[in-house]
Amino acid sequence: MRKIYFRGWAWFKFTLLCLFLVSLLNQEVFAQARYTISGTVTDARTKSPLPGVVVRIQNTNTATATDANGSYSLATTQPAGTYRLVFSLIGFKPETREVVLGASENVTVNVLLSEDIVGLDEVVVTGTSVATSKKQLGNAISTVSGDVLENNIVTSVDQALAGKVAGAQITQNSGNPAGGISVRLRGTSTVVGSGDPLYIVDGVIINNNSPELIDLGGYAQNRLVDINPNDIERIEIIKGAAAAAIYGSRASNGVVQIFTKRGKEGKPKVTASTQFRISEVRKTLEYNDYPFRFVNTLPGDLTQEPVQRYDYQDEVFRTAFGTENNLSVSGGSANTQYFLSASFLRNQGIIDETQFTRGSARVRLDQTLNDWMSVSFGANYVLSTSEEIPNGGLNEAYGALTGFIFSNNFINPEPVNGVYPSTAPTNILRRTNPLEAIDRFDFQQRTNRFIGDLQLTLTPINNLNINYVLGYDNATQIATGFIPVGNTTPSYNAGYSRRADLTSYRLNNDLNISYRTMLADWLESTTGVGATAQVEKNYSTAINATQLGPIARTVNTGANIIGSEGRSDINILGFFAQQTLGFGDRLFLTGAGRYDVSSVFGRDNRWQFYPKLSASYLISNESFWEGISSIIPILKLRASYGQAGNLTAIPAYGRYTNYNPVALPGLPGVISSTQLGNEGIKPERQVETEVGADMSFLDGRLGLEFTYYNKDVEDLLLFINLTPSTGFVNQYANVGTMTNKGVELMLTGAPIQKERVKWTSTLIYSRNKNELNDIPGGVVTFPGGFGQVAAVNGYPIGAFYSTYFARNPDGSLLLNPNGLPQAERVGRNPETGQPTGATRPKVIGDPNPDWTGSFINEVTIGGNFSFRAQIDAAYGFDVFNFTRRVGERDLYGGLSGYEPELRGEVPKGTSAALFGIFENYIEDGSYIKLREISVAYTLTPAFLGGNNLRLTLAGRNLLSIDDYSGYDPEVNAAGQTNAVRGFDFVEVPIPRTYALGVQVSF
Amino acid sequence: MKNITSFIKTGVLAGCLLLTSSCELDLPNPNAASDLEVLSSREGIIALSVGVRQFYSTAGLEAAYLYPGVTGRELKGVATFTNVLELEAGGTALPSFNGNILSLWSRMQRTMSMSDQILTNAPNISGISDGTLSGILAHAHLFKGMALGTLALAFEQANTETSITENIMFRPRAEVLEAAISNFNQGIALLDATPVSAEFTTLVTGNAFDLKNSLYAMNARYNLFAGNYDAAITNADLVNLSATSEYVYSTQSVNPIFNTTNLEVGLGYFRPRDNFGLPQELFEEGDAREDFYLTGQTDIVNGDPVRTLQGFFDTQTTEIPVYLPDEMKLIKAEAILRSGGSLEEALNLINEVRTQTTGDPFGVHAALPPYSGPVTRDALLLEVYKQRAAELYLTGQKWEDSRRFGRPAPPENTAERNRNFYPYPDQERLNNPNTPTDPVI
Repeated sequence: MRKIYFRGWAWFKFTLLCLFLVSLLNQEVFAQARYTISGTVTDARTKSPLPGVVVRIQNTNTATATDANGSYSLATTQPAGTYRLVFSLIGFKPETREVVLGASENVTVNVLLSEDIVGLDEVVVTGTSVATSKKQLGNAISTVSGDVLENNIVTSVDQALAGKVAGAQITQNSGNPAGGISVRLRGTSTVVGSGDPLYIVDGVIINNNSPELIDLGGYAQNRLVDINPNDIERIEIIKGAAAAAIYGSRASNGVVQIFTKRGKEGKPKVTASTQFRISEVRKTLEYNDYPFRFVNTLPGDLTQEPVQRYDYQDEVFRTAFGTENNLSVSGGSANTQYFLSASFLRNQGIIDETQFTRGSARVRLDQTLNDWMSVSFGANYVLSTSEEIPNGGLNEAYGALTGFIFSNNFINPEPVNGVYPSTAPTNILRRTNPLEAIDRFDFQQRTNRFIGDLQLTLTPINNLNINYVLGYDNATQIATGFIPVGNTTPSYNAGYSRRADLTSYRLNNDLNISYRTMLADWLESTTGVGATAQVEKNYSTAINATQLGPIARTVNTGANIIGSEGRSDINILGFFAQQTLGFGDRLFLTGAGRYDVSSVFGRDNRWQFYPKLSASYLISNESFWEGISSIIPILKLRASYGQAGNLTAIPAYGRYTNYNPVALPGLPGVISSTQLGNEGIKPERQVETEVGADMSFLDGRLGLEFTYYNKDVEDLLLFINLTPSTGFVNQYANVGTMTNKGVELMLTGAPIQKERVKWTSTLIYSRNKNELNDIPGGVVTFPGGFGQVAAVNGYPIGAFYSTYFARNPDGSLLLNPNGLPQAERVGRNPETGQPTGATRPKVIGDPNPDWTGSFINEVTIGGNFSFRAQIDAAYGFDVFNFTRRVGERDLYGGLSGYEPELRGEVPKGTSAALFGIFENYIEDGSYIKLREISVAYTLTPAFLGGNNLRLTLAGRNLLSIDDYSGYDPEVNAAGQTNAVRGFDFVEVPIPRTYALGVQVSF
Repeated sequence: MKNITSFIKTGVLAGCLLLTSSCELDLPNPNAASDLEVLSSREGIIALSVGVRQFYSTAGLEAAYLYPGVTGRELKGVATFTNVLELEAGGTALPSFNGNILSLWSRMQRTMSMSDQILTNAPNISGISDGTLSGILAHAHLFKGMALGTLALAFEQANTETSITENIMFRPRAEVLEAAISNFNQGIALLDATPVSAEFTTLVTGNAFDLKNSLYAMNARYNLFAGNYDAAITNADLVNLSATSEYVYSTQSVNPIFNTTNLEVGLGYFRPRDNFGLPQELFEEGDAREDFYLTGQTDIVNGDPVRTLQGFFDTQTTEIPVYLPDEMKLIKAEAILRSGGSLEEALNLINEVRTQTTGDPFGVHAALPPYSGPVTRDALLLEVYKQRAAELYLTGQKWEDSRRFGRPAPPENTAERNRNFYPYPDQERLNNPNTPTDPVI
């Protein structure tokens, strides 16, 4: 076989679509003649040539791709006979042609490819052991092409995905320029762990943590923000356990696999783009402009005095600018392809003095070593920095907007002789002057990150693929915070300095072997086995200094310095096997099993097994369907069952009972932790069943994807409360259960499909219902929601659990003797009928939407004008408006909602009475947002020598239709926290952004 | 084909090399010691002994002094956090899920649990010298006793042992007090049999903490509360009044009262009420202890005058006495009065406290004129209550005093306390069916 290699013919072309190198394998023994098949491939609609189309002789490794002119040339030494030639390209329906290799050595085959609206023939690799077309899969899988990320004003990949995936709820939790984003695929599957899916970039399991190294009020970046969306070629999203069994204990939240761009054979292609952005606050809160105030808060005293009112928001928000520059160079020879890119993004936040900057560089090198071996190497370096202003205020109340909401707005916040006045309404409580937070605080974050991968692909014999991936991701995030001495903060008048850093290291080794063969004419078998070894290490330090000296900003200047350090180490090994049988291109059955073992699992539960089974039936390929195929050309029914685990919920050392170090002066000691170890801890196990159908109508111009799923999470980990008389307070225990049931629907159509005009429409609808059960004691309160958010038996995760109005039997408010509303209590006084005893909490709201949806329209006219618009909606969810609760209260009263009390329209003391009735602050957050709109025009100006220049005008979050009284129903002050959602406490609203972009390519 | 095989071999070898780092599945925790390591080694037990005192002197005192201090009206909760508002409101508005009650309950349970771990494991560890072992055990008895005592002051019933495996039983507070006293007695007996070694002082208590005098003082205190007046007097007499015993603090382990009450550097959740929170008729103008404990201007919060704490609570690292020497005099005075002893003797003890202007090791001087009221049992008892409220301000005893001296009670009168006993925390009740019914008030 080595001789073949030395023939040295450059016959192998890299197939661009899949991870596996497909190389030509000469079967010299049988070689009798040499043939060359050539031709061109053209777009059936626009009649323009199609580059990058993969041309393959079916069931062989003989393949090539079309060049920029749509032409291909395929040489083969196959014996004479009749073969099937397959032409495939993403976004187009594949075509198969029969070719007869006989007398003539040169055969010409020209093909027209039609656009594929439905995408059933798309090839995916996620959750399968070998590249597989979607039609064979028994589970739904979503794919998003990198094209839709273009012309877009997004900072991160997850932000760009919002509204584009059925079954995914994507929420931007903060409007900061690198605002954190939560992705929930088919609802939330865990309580204490991360609810975000597993992200894999070019085979590397990447870190998407949201470390809160400095307290910015609840907001934190999630580390996916380091990946430049412009580098992305394609994204595959698996939503269910049934598909995710192959990723074992990390997959119960689903898997998002991202493929970055690769070089293609040909002369160097250079693309440069620049974008200019303007962001502004979409809506500000109505502030109190009543020119009088009460001189005290005593109920009977209505004395008022004149005051001047200020709108602090004017001083906090600004019009922000940003630029983004991208440059990429790609190309290569037959055996070597490269892709290089560099990008620089600088984006100001709408809160004054906030900014996010990201510089990144990426290299992808693909090298074919010989006819059965190739390597690929990728490297991505990112340096991102941010200047932050704290807002929100779940723990610390030193933020800018926090200061605004806790101020009564009759104090001029401007500094006098450099000293910022306290804007706190009384001298009892101290609250931050928002201007001081902006002008004097210095909070920064800086992340250094390298992601690299090395992949080796072997095809030693026909149809046997061996693939090894080494993935490496190392991120060091450093955060610093500084509040100078002598300020208006509640607790750091003597100054505050903090430095914290976290180095997260991830390594994954994956070996996958697959073999595909025809057992009979009608029976195709694909066998995959694989093993993975993964290491996750985290090193963190934090140093806090208080009682600072003047001027210097580092912790050294503090008189009181406290340091802490943490390290964790997690090892995971996994082994899987998967078998797919294809019966006559109609029925596909897959079975798989995976064993996982991890250092975080308790000793008795070390080995975890995850099975899966799925079936796909292409009923439209049956002969009896032919009569109907003009109406419904494609109908596929699918069903799958599978299990997956979630180990993110288990802390690295959760099984130990720890004794934490403490120190008295000169005397080191240890104390037992409040947390009792759990030697039997194991991953949460999700059992999922999904059934669905994919179909197309009207000659493939209308496609429908429908899925129903039911996910049961067993052994749900909860941080349960123990009876304190154990000597411990809490423990991680696998006690709860959770279910998610829902449907997802995607309707894609092409109302107009003409040579010069194309209009495609996509409608996505997702509905999910979550329910928690087996909560010990019925209720477990979560941290981070002021004690108002809890897991309650029979209710969905994140339910708001707090006080509510005492009401009369007719539903009207039961007022107290002073005529004010009051909270319901455990009892009623039999004589007066008034509530007595402690206040009684109940579930007063649910932050999970009944459904989410989106409507996307794209129009292209000719070759050079395109228009795109996306509308997102979320319906039937509640927001806990803590912002209003504080701003309308008499003590603070900076919002217009307090004015009725000043005007005497409601009794004095009403706002103070309402303050303790949390039900009053639950609001419907349902919204419809104009998420994205863009127009692009492509020119071919003479001065560019016939190369393309594309101009783009785009907008994001331009409009929101909602009844929500706060800034934005979408944000969440608790950041990416899993359990506390829909919690509005002066989190930065998502800005309205406009952008103008120019792209040149040659 | 040979080529391929060798490639696969190399690949497998390289793979294995890369895998070795991830094959280890029993990873030790570098951040903290495990129970096995702590409870079976000499170093571990010594460290846990220091730890139990560190815990009690920070988290423990915060709960034992501040929350009963609010309920006993020494302090006012000024933060707008729900738990603080509930504690401040007291009465039926104090729910069983209140976070402060849970803290008080669970921190005392943890103190008991750690003390029990020491008492159970220390005798089995070889290499601990006799004088060190007796010190370690007596030290654990002291903290277990104080935890039990603190529980008995706040709850009508409590457990006397902790358990991970089964639901604990509740016992009436009289039995809980007896259990506390039993611990103090066992500690004293251990030290009588084997005095502590120098090593124990160096490694566990340091020089500021006086174990034996603390045991006598606590024994006197809780025997008084239990009505064992002779034992209270005996133990009070055994306390060396010129010795001091203190909890010490550092920036790593800060004075919890300062931290929770200070407005500038700390959290500022609570503030001291003007005049120690006493009704006008119980506060004597000119009491020098007012300026010792309180400072700053008088602010009005929701109609109540509040000031700023100083005394033992004015910086992060100010030491807090384990007990005050004058408490022994007041214990004796009260025990004499309650056991029908000499009014004269009691009066002398009271006047020693009232007229003191120098000599208190902690500088707590009343500098008042001698008692001039009627010399009757009831009048002198009321005087003891007054003196205790001032002298022993914020030592976690005012609430108990107001009950023991039969002061006006809620719900009718909330001037001196707004609850009689706390309800049992929900977290205990939800998983322990033995939890008794909550007291009405």
